[in-house]
Amino acid sequence: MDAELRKQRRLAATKARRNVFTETVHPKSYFELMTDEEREAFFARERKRSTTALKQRKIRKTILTAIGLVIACSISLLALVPIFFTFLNSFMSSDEIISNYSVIFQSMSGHNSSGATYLSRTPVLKLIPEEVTIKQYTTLLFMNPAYLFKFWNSIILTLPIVGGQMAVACLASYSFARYRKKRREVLFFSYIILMLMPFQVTLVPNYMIADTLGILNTYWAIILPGVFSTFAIFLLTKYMRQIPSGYIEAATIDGATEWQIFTKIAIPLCKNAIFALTILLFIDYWNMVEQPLVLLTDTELQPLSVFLAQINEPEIGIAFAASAVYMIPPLLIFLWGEEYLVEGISRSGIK
Amino acid sequence: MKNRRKTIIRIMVAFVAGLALLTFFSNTIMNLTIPKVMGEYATRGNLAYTNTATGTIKVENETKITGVEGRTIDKILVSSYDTVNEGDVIATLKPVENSDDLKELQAQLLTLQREKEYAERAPSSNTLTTYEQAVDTAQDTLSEAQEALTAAQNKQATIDSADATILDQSAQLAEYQSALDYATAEKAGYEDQIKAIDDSIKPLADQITIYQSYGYQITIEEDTGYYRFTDPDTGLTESDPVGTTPVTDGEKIRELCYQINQYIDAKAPIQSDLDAAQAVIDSNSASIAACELAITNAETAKEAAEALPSVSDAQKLVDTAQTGLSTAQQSLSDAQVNAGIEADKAQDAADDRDKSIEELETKIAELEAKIEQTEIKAPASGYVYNISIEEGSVMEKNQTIAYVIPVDDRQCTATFTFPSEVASRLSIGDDMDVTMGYVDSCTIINIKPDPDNPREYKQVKCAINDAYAFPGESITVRADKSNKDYECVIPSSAVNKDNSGYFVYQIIGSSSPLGDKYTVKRVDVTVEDDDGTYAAISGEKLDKDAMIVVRSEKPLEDGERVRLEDFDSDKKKT
Repeated sequence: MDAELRKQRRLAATKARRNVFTETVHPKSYFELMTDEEREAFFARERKRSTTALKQRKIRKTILTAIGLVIACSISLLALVPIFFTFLNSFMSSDEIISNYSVIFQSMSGHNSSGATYLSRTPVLKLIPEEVTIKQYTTLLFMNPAYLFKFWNSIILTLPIVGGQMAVACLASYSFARYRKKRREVLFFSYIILMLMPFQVTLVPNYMIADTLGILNTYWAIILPGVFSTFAIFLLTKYMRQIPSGYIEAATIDGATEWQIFTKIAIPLCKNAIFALTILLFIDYWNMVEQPLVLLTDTELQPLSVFLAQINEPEIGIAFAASAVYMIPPLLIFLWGEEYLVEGISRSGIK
Repeated sequence: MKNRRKTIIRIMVAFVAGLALLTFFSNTIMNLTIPKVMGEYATRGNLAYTNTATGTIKVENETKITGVEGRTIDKILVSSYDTVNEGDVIATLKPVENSDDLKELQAQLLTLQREKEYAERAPSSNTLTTYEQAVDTAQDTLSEAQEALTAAQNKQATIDSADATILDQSAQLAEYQSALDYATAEKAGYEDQIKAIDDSIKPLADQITIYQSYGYQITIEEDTGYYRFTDPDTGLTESDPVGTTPVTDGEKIRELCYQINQYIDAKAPIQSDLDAAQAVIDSNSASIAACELAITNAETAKEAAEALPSVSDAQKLVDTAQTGLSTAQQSLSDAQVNAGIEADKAQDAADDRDKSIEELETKIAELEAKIEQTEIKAPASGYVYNISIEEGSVMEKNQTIAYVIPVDDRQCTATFTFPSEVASRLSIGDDMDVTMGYVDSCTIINIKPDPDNPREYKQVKCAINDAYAFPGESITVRADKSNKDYECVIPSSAVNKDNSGYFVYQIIGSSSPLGDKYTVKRVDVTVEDDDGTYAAISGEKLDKDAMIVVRSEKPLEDGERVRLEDFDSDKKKT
């Protein structure tokens, strides 16, 4: 009724404003043609239908949400199980680990100097230790200095690469973003090509160059190619190109130098991307295997990632503790720069 | 958000710092926890018994030169390895300035001789008599006490017997008394009868007396009392019948005699009965008296028995007496022992005194001889060596001042100490390999356990065959007999032993990205032979290509991780 009353008032107001009065024949609607009983029956039927439709929609939505949740949880569980598995198994004793998983190595070549054999029994994947012990950690940290040395190797390799690459990337990206000339575009395109190339393609040239420079089997053989990697330049360039040109022009009008523009405007605006890239690069180079494996023949110079990739039967007793300790630095780095990473990725469209 | 980042940064710093600290102390921790070992590969070959021992040459047929106790060397006339003949003067002695020792010995001898004389004159005393008397007295006391005990033990029986006797005798006494009374009554009856007869006879006898007074020959038999009368007129006797009425005197006398005889005849049985009764009376009186006596005796015995002490008291008395006897006997025994001891002491003292006197006499004689001695002579011919005196030194008792060894035919020996296991491979008659010293040969003549450590070591005595061997020279020999070819020879230090037997630790190496890792594995082995330095081992689980731990900083355990030192792969011998 309110709607009808409002309609009549609006009509009256319109007529008063126009100062015209035209009596229009208003055709009766479907509802006006109905009797009150018919109208009541119609509304009752419609209410029932809409209620049913709402219920069906709610059920459907609930089912779809549940299915989606199950799928998401399953995928999350699959992703998290190895981490939990590693962490929980690191509290098993070495004997228990050997008892559970040593059969896996029977299928590997060179096992017991008699070659690979079929698995004599199924490996027992256990999450709950028979006896909780920190023996793996004590053995790893107190009885294996080589592990610690390799840990420092990883740090020595990773930190200069990340630092150097970020420095080079910031400068190069600003250049690519600020001065878009034809030759620079060609150079940038070559960077894109290089970035798209599989790593294994550039490994052999890298090896040859390192050999030529005489830095093979030294940390520089890893650090130098890493410092001048293209991935960070490409992404940071894309990010810096989003900086409004008005900011830079205003700074230029205000008399800012190029270095001031770079340090005062470009870098602060790209802070999120820089942190995100730092985290990604750290994780990437913390986990590198192929470069040190090829370029560092001296095992004492190889990082921890190579050791973890080479874990075999003799080290299985400490494998889980080694993996757990190995996970700590990337985890801390991620927790430290989580917000930067999320924001940086969302704005630059990384991966 | 900032706080969270700060916390994370602190965690990162702590993590890196912790790792840095662990890295800094890594080698220290390794050195403290993982023992360092030295390993060697087993080799194939034989064992070289490098068991050597050093001994000193000793001359068996040397002669000692003994010094003179208390004398001072004046001059030594020889030096070591001088050749002397038997009787040659080795050294001269300074004269004895004072003979206090001799005087003292003589004074001691005199004292002992006097003591001996006094002891022989001392009377022997017998101190055992008192103890023996005490024992006799105690024995008597014991006998009396035992008798009293026996009596006390038989006290009731005695009383019962006395009561029975009194009862029995009382009964008999009553019987006898009744019999006596009866016999007395009878006797009175018989006496009355006899009296009546006598009263009857008396008037008749009075008549006879009257007749006798008339002159009639009337005889009375003495034994029977019969009146005999022969009538002179008739010639009839009294036994002849008389008429109814006697008329004559003869007849009357005859009748009287006859009547008297009749009375006598009648009296005779009565008298006999009277005698019998009297006999019965006498017999019963005697029996009564005997019974009364028996009763009296029984009552006396009963009273005496009742007056006896109880068995326990009597037993106490016996025990006391027994104790007294034991004490007396013990005292006697002790006294005898003491007397024996005293006697033995006296005898021993006498013997000791005699011995001391004898020794003193010998010493005095020797001392007198020594005082008279002015030089020391060589007891045999040969080299003099090991002179242990100097001029002016005072010699001690039984001091050997030098030795004389024969010039030729010296019997030289040397004794070497070898471990028992090594010595077990040696045998008498074998020649030892002399590695140090100049002797022709060295032949084993005796092997016996080392007195200091008979289980672990043995002494090997060798005869030194060398004409120029002198005592005091050191020679070193080697016990070397091995010529076997063993498959696994390792240093003896690598072989360990525990309750389950011999074992070695093999080094199991594994190469990993974390570096070479070595662990030890215990392998039980059998030691086939051992030369003290190397041992030949064998074992089913022994890996001949594996290194074996020969030296370790710490005691090892099976499966323990170790560090290698001085590892040189070139040492591996094929």
